[in-house]
Amino acid sequence: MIPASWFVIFAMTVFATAAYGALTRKNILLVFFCVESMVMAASLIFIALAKTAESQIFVLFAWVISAGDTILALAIFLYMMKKAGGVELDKIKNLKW
Amino acid sequence: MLDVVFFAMASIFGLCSLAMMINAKNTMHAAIYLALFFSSTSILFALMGASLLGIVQFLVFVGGIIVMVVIAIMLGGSTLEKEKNDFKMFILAALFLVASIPYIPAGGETVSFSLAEVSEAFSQYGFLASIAGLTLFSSLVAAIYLLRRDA
Amino acid sequence: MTAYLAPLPLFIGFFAIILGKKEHAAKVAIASAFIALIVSLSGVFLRTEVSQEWFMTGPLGFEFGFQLDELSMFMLPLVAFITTLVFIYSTEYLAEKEDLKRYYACMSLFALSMMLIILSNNLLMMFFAWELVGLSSYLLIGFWYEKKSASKAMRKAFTIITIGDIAMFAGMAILLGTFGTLNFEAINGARTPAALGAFLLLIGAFSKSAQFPLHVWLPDAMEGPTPVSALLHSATMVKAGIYLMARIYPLLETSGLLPILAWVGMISILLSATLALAENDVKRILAYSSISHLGFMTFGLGIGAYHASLFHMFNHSFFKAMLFLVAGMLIHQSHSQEIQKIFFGDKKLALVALVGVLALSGVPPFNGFWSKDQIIEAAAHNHVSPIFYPLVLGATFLSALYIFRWFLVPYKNSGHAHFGNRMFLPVALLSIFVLTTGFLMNPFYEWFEGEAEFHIAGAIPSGAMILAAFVLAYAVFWKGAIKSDAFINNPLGRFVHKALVNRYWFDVLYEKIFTTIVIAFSKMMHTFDIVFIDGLVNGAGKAGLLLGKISGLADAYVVDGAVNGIGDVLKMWGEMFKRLVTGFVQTYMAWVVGGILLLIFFLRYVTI
Repeated sequence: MIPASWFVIFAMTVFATAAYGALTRKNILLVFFCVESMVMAASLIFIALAKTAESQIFVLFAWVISAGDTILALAIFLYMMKKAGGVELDKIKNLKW
Repeated sequence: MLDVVFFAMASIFGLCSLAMMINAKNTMHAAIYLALFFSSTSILFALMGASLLGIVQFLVFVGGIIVMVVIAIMLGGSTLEKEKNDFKMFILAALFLVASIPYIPAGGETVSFSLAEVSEAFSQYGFLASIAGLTLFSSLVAAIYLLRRDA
Repeated sequence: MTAYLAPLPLFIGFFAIILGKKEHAAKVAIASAFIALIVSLSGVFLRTEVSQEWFMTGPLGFEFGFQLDELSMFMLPLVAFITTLVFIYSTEYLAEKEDLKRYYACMSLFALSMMLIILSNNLLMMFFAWELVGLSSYLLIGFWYEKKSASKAMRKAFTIITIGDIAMFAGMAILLGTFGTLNFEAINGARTPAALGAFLLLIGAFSKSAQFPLHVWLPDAMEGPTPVSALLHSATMVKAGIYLMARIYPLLETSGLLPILAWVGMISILLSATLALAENDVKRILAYSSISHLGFMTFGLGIGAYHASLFHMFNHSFFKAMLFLVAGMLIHQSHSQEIQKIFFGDKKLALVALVGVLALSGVPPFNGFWSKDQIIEAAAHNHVSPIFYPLVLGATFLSALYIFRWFLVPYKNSGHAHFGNRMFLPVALLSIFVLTTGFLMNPFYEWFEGEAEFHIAGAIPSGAMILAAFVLAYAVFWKGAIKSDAFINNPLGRFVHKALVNRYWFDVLYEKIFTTIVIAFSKMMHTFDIVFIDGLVNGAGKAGLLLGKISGLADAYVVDGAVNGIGDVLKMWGEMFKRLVTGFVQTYMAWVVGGILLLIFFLRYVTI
């Protein structure tokens, strides 16, 4: 059997990498993909340290929520493509002081 | 023994696909790399003993989410600029790894569940599952509204 | 009725004239003067003192009282009599268009205050009456105040009189300190010398009687109407000084001030006699003559001839008043005041004038001779200085000379006389008195419980002088034997003439001193005002401005600074913190990540 700590280390690495990607990338879809990856890493850790079966149900509910925000993210992406023609995040500065 | 090999392969595969996704040339490539990442995590879920979750993930994410993303990319366009790497954020992200070190458990084994236990748990939460479906439905409605033609 | 009520009719008359109509003014005045005459005659033989306590301050008491003794009882009817005659004369002398109400009111005021001087029994009351006399003389000299010379003259008179008044007040204060009372009987009876106080009183007396050096006001006082001169400057007001000296005579004796009197008197006689010779105004000659005869009286008091001086005071009133009234008649008919231009025009007028002239020069049997001779005889045996006898003889010569000139020069002129009975009859009445009062010498001396001595031998030198003067006057002024050109062509003569015309430059000197003092004082006051008063006021203003400025600065810097400082600090923080809002979503994510890391560290390491 694989010790749980290996899963945790792997999941943390994924989380850190995805966090770096979320903070750095300019394309909105890429940022969104990294956020999804962070959610997956979190659920990996959750299951790795789980003792009962209800933890899987919990993770499912978390996926449902992340799927919901996936839909909205894609809708926003399409909306932005239609309106502004570009989805570079550093070009969107309407709320800048 | 085989577990370790599978684990090593899946983990390396996942990390590499993640790294490729971050440095992808265009968004379609990024979506594909994301699909690969999801599949590697699915394998890992299975290795952990949550086989139901592994299967559900592959079906939902790769089969549903990634498809949706691909369609959206096809509708929207998939150009991607070359990006430079930011060192400050790298440090910030690396801090996460540092922060997590004390939380790594000493040892312990992952618990695997049989199908009977899982289905019994599911039957308790069936009602809540349909509520969660309504959440998805509401986000669908919101997406439709956002993308109506005369907006 | 007792004699001290004599001022009362005049007092009532004063108010009646002011409140009444112009036409009645003269009648009221004459009536009140006549009633005063009768009242004063009624008590002429009384010897009492009536006194009423006025107010007390501590141990000092001031009284309001009348003293009826031999000194006051011969002056009082004299004043009332001459006042009455002058009032009758003024009805014709002053034209209807003059301000008669003011004239008679001032004259009545004068008469009543003169009587108060005579009647008062203490120095304080006499001082009040003295001031009133000075005031009424000021008003009367400047009766025609529209004339510039008249207003100048009235101011000059008042200035000199005020100097005398100040000295008199100071003397009164010193005497009060020395004796503790101001009552004449007490002061005279105390037999203690009080030289300074008495001397200051003497200065007051000199100012009133126009003695050297305070004589300069009397010639200019002739700007007033002639009746005023007749009453004030011959018979009554100028006598007030002599009267005061007579009142405090025992005090002067014990204080040893009599030699001063003698010298001042003698200098006044010679000074005014010489000045009269160069004067051409008919009234001014008589004014100098008044100074001269007052000098005789002062001199007489100084050498101890008390009764002689008082007798001369009595006689002088009559002939001087008469001569002034005659001068008034001459001016009235000639419309000029210079002796070269006026004329007698009528034998009657010339006759009465001659009577006065002879009386003044001291020719027997006119009244002037008797009293003047007494003084000359006393001068022969005086204890003060041996030079007085020759000087007094020279004075006799000079006084005869100028008065003969006064008569002879107009006598040569001819003209048409016109005067009425109301002007002539008082003059005639006075001339009768002039002829007769000389023979009252013995009764007069006995009045004072004295003894009169008369030596024919003593009269000879003075008689010789008068005769010589008459010869000279006749030669020069009547016949014209010696022309005045001889006098002028001589340089010494020219200098003497210039000195006399300029009145020995006393007027010029006094004016210079006075104006210098006044200007210096006013300059000092001006400096004081500018430096201190204005400085204070401006300083207060500047202090106020300064306070305002400080307050403004405090407001601008401190208060506004605090308020603006708070605003600036907040603005600075706002500027600092607004940079957080980049609009760039990954910045926010970075902050979130940082916060989560912090939370993790906090949970793991800080808390247990």
